[in-house]
Amino acid sequence: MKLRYNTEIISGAVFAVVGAVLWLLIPSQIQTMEKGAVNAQTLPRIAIGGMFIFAIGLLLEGLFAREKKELVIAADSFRSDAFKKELRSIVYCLFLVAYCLIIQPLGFVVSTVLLVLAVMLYYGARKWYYYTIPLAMVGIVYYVFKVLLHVSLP
Amino acid sequence: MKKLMSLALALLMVLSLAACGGSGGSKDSDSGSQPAQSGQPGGGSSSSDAKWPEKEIKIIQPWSLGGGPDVITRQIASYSDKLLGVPMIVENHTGGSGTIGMNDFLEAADDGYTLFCCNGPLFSLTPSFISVDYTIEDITPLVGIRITEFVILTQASSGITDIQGLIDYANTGHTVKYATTGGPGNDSFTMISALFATLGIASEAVPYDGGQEAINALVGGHVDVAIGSPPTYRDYVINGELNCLGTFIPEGLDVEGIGHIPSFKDQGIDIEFTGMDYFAVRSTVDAEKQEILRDFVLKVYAEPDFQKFMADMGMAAWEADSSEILGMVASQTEAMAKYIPLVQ
Amino acid sequence: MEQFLGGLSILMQWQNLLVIPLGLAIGIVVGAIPGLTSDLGIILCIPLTYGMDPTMAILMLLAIYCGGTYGGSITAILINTPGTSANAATLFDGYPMTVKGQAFKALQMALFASTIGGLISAFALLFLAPLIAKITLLFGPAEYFALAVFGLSVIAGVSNNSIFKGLIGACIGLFMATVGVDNISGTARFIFGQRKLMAGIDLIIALIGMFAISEILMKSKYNPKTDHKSISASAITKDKITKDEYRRCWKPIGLGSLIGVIIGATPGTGGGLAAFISYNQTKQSSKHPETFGHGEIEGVAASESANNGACGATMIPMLTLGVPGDGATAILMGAFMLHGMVPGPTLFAEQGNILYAIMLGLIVVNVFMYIIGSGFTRFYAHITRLPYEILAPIVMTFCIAGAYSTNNRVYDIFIILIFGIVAYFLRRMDFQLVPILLGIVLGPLAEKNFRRAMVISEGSFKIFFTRPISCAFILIAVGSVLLFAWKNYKSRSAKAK
Repeated sequence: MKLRYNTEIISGAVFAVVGAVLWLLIPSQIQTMEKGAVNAQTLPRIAIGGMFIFAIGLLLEGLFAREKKELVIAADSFRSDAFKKELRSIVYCLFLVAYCLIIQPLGFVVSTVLLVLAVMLYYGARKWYYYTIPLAMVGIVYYVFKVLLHVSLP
Repeated sequence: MKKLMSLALALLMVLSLAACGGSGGSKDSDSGSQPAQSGQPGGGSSSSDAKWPEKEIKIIQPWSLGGGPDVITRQIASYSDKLLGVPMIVENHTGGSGTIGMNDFLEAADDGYTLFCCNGPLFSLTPSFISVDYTIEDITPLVGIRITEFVILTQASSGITDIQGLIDYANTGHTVKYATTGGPGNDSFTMISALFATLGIASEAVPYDGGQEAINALVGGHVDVAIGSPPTYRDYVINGELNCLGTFIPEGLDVEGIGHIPSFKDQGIDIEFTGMDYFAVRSTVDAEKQEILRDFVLKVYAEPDFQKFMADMGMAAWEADSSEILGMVASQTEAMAKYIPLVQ
Repeated sequence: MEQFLGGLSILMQWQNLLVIPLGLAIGIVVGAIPGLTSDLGIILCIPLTYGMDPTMAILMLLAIYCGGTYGGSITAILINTPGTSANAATLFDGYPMTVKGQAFKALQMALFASTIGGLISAFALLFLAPLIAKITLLFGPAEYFALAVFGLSVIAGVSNNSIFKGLIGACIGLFMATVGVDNISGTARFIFGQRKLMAGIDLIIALIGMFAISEILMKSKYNPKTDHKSISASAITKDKITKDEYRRCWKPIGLGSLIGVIIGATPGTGGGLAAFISYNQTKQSSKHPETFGHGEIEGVAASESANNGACGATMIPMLTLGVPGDGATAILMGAFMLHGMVPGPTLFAEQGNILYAIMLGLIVVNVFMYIIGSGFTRFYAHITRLPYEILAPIVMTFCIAGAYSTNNRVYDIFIILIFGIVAYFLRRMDFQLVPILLGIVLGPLAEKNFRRAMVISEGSFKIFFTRPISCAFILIAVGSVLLFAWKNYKSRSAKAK
């Protein structure tokens, strides 16, 4: 399978869909009692309508005016370096998602230490003393916030 | 911007909370040596001993910084260190015609450490415009703060000095644009709109955020009329830049430096409104804690410094108790039923 | 004059000259941590000032404010994340300079421009406050709306390659600004049943997510074995600003300070907008606009002089009219009231001596800022030597702690993650993030005042053109977009040949 694409086509299509969905949500999400021509829905309509129109413009620009890259999807493309790199950034996102889920039960210090370790292992930091600086920083941040600034942390 | 401010104020609160937790600890050790007094009703249990409050108290202020209720509340709060031994912090949770502050207040714990700067319209008026899920049953008024005296003002250069002048102005084909201190659901918005609806003159509301902004819009000449409450307009009236057309208080109003402001009733218009601000706590807060807080506010009202501060601003403290406030809210709710259809 | 001298004598007490450096140091550190802003620094230090006399207290808080506004540029330059919203425009050229190995130079210029901007602003406050206050009163809804439109016109200049992408970005920002309860009508918008969204999305939370988290995600492909370049300690501080560069930067700094004063004195705007407008104007009037965005030192000078130029000026409407110019001054206004001064028309008559002490003190604050900042600059420049695998977790720790402490809720950590992932997608699609930021900042200003103006004009658009200030802003906005389009067209046709 062969795909010809550029960032204009992808983002144009995404925001055209997002714009259309949000536009349809306006009446249910903004229930205004105002009767004037200019009301609480006006700016959202301009913003969302604008998003849709400009996204269509971007999509057309991408289809006709800009150079496209070619992407051939085949069985071995899932083993390519480029694919692995994309996968890596998804793994990275998952770290952060996991962090959000554990911060409430485990608290700031434990969960942040786990996140720091995960990120450093991910980057493959080998030297042991590399690990000490960010880990110490977690302690320092905790100390500065909690003790010096009296700002609460989870 | 206001959000930033409230978040920052929240942090201030947390900071002082921790700071006072530290200093409060030493006080605890004194009281810890005496056994807690027995025979006190349950509910608050250990926290209802004689040493309450032991940490900082927060006042949620649903109106913007620098407005009438905010200035007074902050002044009252500044006595807390001296009289209660703990600081009192004012957080502005503005927006949604006060409902955002109300919701934050009702979500806070009912341990007596969170007060709310409440008013009548949040119950008598706002529910007609915004879907809310609180009722008057959720709160207990502690003590009054002040009576809100709404005054209608014009620019001195317009030459309009009373309501008749405004009617004449409107009759020459002008649509009167008036600045309010908030949108629909706000008391000033409703009352001034109801006034113009009663008078039957062509008018349009221009909602601003807060009392000072509305007055500045009038001083800058961007609107014809503004509604104000002390102290926002006082200096401008004394300087001769603004004229007072009248007040909603049925008996009229005497302001130091300005003199008597006639009521609309006296000018032959059947409309009246007495706004009120008061402190409230959640209705589930222990009665003893309510009593401590009420006592504190009344002590502040008795301070000569505070009385001078209020007099300088042209205002007076309002010492009403819980039942008086509830009674006024009930009668206001009744009166509003008449005005709201005029503006909807 | 009598008040002036009275103020001077109050200022010259040694305690006052001690708290200023302390406040500045706090401000710079707090400003340089993403997620902690000068607003926060002021709030955290207000309890420390309870026992001080009013002059001392306010001067310390002002020092935090000025220091924080400068300090935010440090992170903008070093790790591509603005420390505060006022420093977002510093990203354009500050970070590219770091990539080129000129981090120290960029930090030095940011400090120098901030100091000059701050000084000009302090003098404006001292000598022109009553005059500027009168002009501020002339700003009605039409003028505010026109100003917002003018601010949005900057989008044309900052969305480098694709105008559609810039416009979509602005629409995203405008949309996000509508989330929450609308203050004019009290209507809830796009809260999807989530009560926590009623107060809207915090600007700081959006900033951390959009800039810091997305930057970390962008670097997910970083490989410590191949991508890290080690730089020796001496090389970092060797590259100083040349005499010629100082000479080139005078014009941007002058222009930036002026824009900072004007925008800062207009309530509800603030240093961030001033910096964008200043950056855009400098770029447009430059003979070499193509170097902007690729590490042009003039770009750093333009934006940093403007945001600090706004610092003193935001105090003008606050002190004279009782209307705060931005978030930080709103908090400062609370501090004034705590110390028994109610800002408003009569403050100058009643508390003149203290006010003059504070306004003169602001000049001292800016002088001290240069001295203290120079020390910090040397230290901070070495952050670029840290390998990214160490820097990333540290930045993350600060962002998370900062985001949480903004409202004390875990919910905001989710929000920064969502913003981070969306912004990461946008950056992969070659979108600029700044139009989104402009949309978030200017959306509420534009909307509220458009709706007010429409009521006042009885639905006629003429109001925006019959009022001179408003008309001027709109003409400049249209003019600058057209000029930009023309220059773009010319450079494209030049390339085609």
